[in-house]
Amino acid sequence: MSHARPEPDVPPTASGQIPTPREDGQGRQGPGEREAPGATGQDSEGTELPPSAQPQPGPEPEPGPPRTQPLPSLVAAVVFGVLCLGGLGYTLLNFTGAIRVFTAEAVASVLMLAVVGVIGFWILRRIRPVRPPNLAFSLLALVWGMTGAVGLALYANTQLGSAWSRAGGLEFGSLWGAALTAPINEELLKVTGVVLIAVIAPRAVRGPVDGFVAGSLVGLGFQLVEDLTYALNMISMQGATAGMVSVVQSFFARVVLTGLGSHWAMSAVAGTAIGLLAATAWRPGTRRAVGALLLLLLAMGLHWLFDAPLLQSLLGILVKVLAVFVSALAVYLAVRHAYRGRVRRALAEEGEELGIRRSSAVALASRHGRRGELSRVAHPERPAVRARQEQMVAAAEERASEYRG
Amino acid sequence: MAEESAQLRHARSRGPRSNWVPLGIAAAVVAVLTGGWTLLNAGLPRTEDLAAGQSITLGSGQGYEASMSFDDGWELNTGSSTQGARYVFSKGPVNLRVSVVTPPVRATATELWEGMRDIVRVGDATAALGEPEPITSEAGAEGLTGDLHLRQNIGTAAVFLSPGGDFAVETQAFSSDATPTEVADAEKLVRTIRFSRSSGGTP
Repeated sequence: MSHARPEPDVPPTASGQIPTPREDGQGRQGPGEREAPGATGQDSEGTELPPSAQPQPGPEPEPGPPRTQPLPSLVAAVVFGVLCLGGLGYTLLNFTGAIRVFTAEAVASVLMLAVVGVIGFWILRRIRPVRPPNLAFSLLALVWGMTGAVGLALYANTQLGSAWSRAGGLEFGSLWGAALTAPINEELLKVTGVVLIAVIAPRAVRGPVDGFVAGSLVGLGFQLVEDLTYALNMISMQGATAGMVSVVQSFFARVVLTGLGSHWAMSAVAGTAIGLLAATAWRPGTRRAVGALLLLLLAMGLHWLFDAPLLQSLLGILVKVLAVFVSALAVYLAVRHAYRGRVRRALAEEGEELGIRRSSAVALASRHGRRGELSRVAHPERPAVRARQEQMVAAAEERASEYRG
Repeated sequence: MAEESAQLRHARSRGPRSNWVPLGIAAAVVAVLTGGWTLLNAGLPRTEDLAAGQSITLGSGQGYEASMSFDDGWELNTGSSTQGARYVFSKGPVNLRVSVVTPPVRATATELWEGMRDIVRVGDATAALGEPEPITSEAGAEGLTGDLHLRQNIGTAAVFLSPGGDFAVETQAFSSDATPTEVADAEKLVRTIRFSRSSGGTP
């Protein structure tokens, strides 16, 4: 019999109260969100916390994860919507003509990229340790990348790219313009979406792991629309003599050859920085602030490397792609390791409180572990056990987000 | 265990920072990256004078490079141009767009002209190319030329395929209120296109 079953053997809390199920912490909470657990000596349900769980005086305390503040959240939602509409409008303004003239090619490109988008969206949500991120906010991240970020970047890149050529001459601007423009504009505009989502729904971005996933989804959305615009531009750049060939060539270059180390990876690194800051309610200590800055600079540096007129042979391009991918992977593994460790500790605590064997409680930190625990339960009991697992994991993630990182 | 975990939890003597702070920073970033760059770009010189007799290499392919020679009064719009791919020149009210295109598969000048019919419609749904006629540049480059209709205006377009066949130069000259002399200047400039043998590829 599983020890992760619904009914505990002992009173589940130190005060003997059975905890009410905690709300899913993945950003579903709206305005009027509860006060930070522990801030008043109570947990998020208002239950009296045991003395040991109450805030302890200590050196250089950092605030816990942010909670929704209704007015900033509302304003952020409006800003988010306006910028998405503005970005979409500007993108359409620039590419409606190409879509009208090269309709078949545009449809073919959209279909190919849609497949990439669906697969990418599934993978990037799946890589979040413990549980997938909230679907609504995952979609918002994707939409920001596809509209607000890409439209604003299109405009900002035109201005700054033109400025480089005007200031440094045509040769300099043509050679270095992209490398000096895109890392600044695109990384900052993409990550702005993660900031806005974190303000709209603080529980959607509670730490570096959430930042990584949200950033990667923003980057994916950005990449998809940028790939479409590149395909349409390539048709004209190749004389519009064989539009479908241009679309396929563009797809090969942008997805097959370089897709592994492109926008999703760079934005994931930058998003991790936002997660680091959001985890402390935007009041990071020096170490955390420096870490966030370095991550943002790493994302911009990787983008610079990707766009710089260096290593332009096929091998060189593969080296660049690998450098971006490996960097993102290293960041991912680091934050995943730290987060899983915190969730395991939280689950162990919960298990202790609920009288569940430690190994069974800790096993719930992974999808595989939860399936394993479920498999030990008789079929009729599984829905209830699954629900209980969800509650325990949600509560553990809530606790984990309150730990010092 | 409980004591240990409690030590790991956040104490909140300072409390969370208002979410207005990140929201304000996000808005400022968007404002700087859009408005700031616009102001910076607007403050820089728009064009670069081209000296009489100056020659510009437009692009190159396998074995050949294309160039153009200017007479007095032409300017290069640097902000709208990209070396090796696209140039915007102007002289008074006349604008001359020059594109270096690289067909993905071998194409004839006629096929490139048909492709250009589509390309001009991307920027302006009313744009249309007339029927092409053969043209030979002063240096002997052979291509096609014809009228370019843009709303009320008539300009000229031309395409020159490189001798190697792997790239081509396409031009579109147009103006809203140019005199016949000024339009003739653009046509004269187009006729200076030359393909020379080279050892390199596209710059």
